[in-house]
Amino acid sequence: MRSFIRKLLLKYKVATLLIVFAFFLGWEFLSQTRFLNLYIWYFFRPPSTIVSELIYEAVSLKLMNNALFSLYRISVGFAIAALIGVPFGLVVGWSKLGNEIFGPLIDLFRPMPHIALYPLLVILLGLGDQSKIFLVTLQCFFIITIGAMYGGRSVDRLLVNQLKVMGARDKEIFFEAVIWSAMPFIFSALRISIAVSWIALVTAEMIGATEGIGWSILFYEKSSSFAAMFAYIFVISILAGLMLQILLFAERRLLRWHRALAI
Amino acid sequence: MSYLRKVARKLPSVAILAAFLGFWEWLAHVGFISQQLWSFLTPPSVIVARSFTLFVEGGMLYHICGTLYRGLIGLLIGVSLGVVFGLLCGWFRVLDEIIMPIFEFLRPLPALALFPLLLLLFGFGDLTKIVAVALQCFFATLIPTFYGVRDVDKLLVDSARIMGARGRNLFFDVLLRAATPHICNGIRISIGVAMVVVTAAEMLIYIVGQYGLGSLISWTEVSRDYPTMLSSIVVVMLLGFFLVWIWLKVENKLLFWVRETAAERV
Repeated sequence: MRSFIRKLLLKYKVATLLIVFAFFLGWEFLSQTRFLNLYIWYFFRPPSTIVSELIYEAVSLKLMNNALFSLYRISVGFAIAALIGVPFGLVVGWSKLGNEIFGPLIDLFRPMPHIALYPLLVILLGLGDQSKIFLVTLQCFFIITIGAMYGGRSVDRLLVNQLKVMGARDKEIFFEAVIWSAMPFIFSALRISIAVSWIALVTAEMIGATEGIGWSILFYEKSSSFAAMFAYIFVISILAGLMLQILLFAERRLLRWHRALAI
Repeated sequence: MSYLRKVARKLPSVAILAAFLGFWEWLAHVGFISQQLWSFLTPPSVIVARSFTLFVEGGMLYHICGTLYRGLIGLLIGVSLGVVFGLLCGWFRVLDEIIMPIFEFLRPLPALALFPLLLLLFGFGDLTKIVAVALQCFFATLIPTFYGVRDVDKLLVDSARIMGARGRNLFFDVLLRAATPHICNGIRISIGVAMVVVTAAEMLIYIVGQYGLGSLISWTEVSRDYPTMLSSIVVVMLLGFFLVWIWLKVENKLLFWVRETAAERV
């Protein structure tokens, strides 16, 4: 019996759900009763209000509009960065010459906060989607490129030599060995860049936009409808979580052979 | 000799960078497309001259100190909490099962999405920015630390057990050691992320009398002082680069037993 309860609590995440439930119940109760008349209950509206606000936003299609705008920007920016960065980084990392030429340059640009360029991008590309997409691309590109670069560099030389002995051509070595052994590096870079690209997008939308989730959060904060603000914060965590889960799923499928840390 | 070789290896990329800057300078000089464009994209010579002026008499150092203060305090809080919680969740199974799903859910949430809320709670001062940085760094270090401790090589743990390691010894001498590369990874990512978040936060609130490079960027954009804007952009980007560079040096000293250099563990 005890082991059954233990299993129920731990394995089926009942304990976690109970904690989360208690947290929201406590929030609801304290907020409804305006506990100690604290001013924070003015911001922390009860979860029931937040849910009803969320439903209102969803029904009036504002939610979908904003979410689609944000998703469009982030996915296009991210896709461009990945589509250019991965092949470029792989080739640069694999070839000695590429390493010599581009290695230090990418090392220089990677840790920079490219978000600082956003005002300049706004001046050059306008306040529309282009500047935001470009910012996301810029922020992700160097992280992804460097991941692919170190991946291409880290190929086991023994493996490559064996393949050469067995008569593989350079092209075959690249497609059969280099790409696959670089995969874990590429995926860890993609994971980091998803997190960073959401930061960049939200900031960009807060600085200047007329739609999008980041804009909605700031808009509802300014117009003092804090329940709607919380609703959008909830939406953004769901969307970012979904992107991460899709990536983790792809990683698990593609990298079955690799006993990796699923960080 | 080896030092010379090190410099020589950097030469091609320096040449590319120089060519790029020279091209930019030339285009601005010619006035390619329109003269107005190059009043936004002021040529490198103007940026360098303006940076020099700012450093000497414009109080650029105050701005750098402001950004560093917020970024580093937030980083310190976030990283230390992240490491502690990561170690606890990795060591105690119960915490792993109960608390970790909550952290996993909260982890992808960008701290900047909470920024308006933090603004309401902590006001327009430094605290808001510090909390935003700390939040983002917390998750950036928590996750690698947790998986580093949890997925430690079982062979290592078992052999330590056989040799009589228990409790504290097992934790400090085996698990913590084995997880250190992952923790360092988390910290390195956190430094980059902290710079991004602190710049973004400063760009969102800019008030007279508040020093910070992000605020300076926003201010000068609004007041159309483009040379100053570009030089503060260059300074903040170089600052991010140097922080990570310093950390890589520290990490290489710290992890002397790991075969590959710090930069190669993405």
